Amino acid sequence: MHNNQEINLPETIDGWKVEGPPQRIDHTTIFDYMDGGGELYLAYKFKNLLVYRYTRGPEEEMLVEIYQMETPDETFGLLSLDWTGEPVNLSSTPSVRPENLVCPDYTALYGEGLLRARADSLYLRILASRETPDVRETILKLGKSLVGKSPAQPPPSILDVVVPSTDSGWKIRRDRTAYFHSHLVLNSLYYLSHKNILNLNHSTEGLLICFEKKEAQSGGQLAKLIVIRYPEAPAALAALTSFFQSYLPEKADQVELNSDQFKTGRTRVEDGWLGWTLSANYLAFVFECPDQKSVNELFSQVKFKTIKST
Amino acid sequence: MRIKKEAITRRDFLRGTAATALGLAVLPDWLKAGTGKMGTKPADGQKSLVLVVRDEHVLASSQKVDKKVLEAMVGEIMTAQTGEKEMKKAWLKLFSPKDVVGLVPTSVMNPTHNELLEIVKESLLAVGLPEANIRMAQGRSVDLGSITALISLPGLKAHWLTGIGTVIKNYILYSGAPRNYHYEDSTKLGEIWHLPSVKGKTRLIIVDALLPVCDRGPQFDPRYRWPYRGLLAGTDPVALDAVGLKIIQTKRDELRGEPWPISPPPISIEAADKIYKLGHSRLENIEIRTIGWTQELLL
Repeated sequence: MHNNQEINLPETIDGWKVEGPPQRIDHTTIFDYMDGGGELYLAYKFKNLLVYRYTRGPEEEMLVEIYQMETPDETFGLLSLDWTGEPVNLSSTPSVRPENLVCPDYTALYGEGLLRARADSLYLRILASRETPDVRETILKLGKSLVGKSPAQPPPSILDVVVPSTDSGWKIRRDRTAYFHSHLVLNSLYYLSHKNILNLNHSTEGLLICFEKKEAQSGGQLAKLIVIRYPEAPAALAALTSFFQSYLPEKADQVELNSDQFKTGRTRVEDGWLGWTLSANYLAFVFECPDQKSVNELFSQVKFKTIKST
Repeated sequence: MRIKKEAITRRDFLRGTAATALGLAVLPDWLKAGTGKMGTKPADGQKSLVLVVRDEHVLASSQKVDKKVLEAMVGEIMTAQTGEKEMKKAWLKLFSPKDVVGLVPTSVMNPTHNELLEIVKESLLAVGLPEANIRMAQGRSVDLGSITALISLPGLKAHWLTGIGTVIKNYILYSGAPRNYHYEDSTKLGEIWHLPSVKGKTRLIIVDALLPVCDRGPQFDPRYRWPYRGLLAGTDPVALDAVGLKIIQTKRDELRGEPWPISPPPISIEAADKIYKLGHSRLENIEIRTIGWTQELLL
């Protein structure tokens, strides 16, 4: 399934009946449909949305939302905002990819009457007003009919810059890995500033990875790694400059505006050690590290040179 | 290089200087003149009262509302708020039969329960307000000029662009331009309460916390809704948001078993206190009076 225009959902299923033709939403009407929530989908290169409403009796309703995004990476990003829930397999094509060490391999997650799933460039949300075992079955049935034989898509290539090290005292919390383009999304995951101080937009790709100490008990402090890939090196340097001006004004003189050479450094701030690394069109930060050694350990798991910009 | 701080950042919140960083620059010209005495914030040393009224029987197992129980909870609020045990007297202490009252519920993400709206409307009818003078007043096209009193009835919920989207944000559509109050501009949400057509009209705020939503959204996820079975009430919008935030944050940490901070930080609450003088944002300046069921109070 590549396009939501090709979709034909059943008129009836398990006693549910579809209410009229689907509602068609595009970027001009998405705010009418979901108010400020539209910003989320626009941040992930939204193309359009089909909304089907099923009812069963006077009180039960099921909403089927089929988002057409520009690329499979966008649907990964949407799913990555919350990896919790019951992983379910909707595809009839078995996945043969090796386990990903940076993020979960899930393509569909279910919980209390809500199914979220990705298939190619489609992102699906199926939400029932009330959950029962038979409602769950119907939701999964609809999900399977939508996903069909779509092959499992790999995660965005920027994830390949992170190569977990078995020697490190830090391990990746895979359930916290997220992919984004927008500072609004970044702020909803990890707040840096209300302003767009990293110059994020649709041409940039961002990755948030959380690390925890291997020996730490649950609930311990997480260190955060943010990696941004810019379209070209000057954009990455400009973003680092912007970051320093806003976040580390006392260190702003350490960045030369006319230089594109490799830059790295660290400093202690209110919530721990902060590190930065600029390498060509990549910019990476670590936050909330307990010491300088941890900054180095986290950055040692980032391999910029193995990746080419797309 | 120009060394200039250009934005409020995480560090400002860690240092507790976010309000200072906000400064007075966000005040529009029409508000700057009377900054000193423009708000409804209680005087120094005077606490704001927030009522937390809960009943474990207000929701059936299907999460349907028991209207009789809810009505009794509203009654507790009116008595605590006015000191009157007799309901008619209590309502008449806040509203006159000559008032035109606008009810302002939440319509999206975590909609205000219809039963709560019905109870408030029936109570106003019972004290002699004509039905035509009780209006649903949520939205951009509300005729605020003819409304003499507002009852804000938002649902308790987190919000992905503003951190929390409950009391202070409930009037966002009155601005006519809600997108101007998201992101960093959520700091300005308090100014909407100072619009001439809004200012001073809010006589009662009842937050529907029967089934709050503790995740940011933007779309509803039933896994993050839980039966708190409560109403929060008072007249200080900032204090109510501060208490609602505490409940939501505590629930989030409990769900994850580790700190799960609301993000972005709900800067509108501190700004509504420090800049727009609408009420108290700090819990030490708020008297939280609990009535009824106290299990999993989260406060």
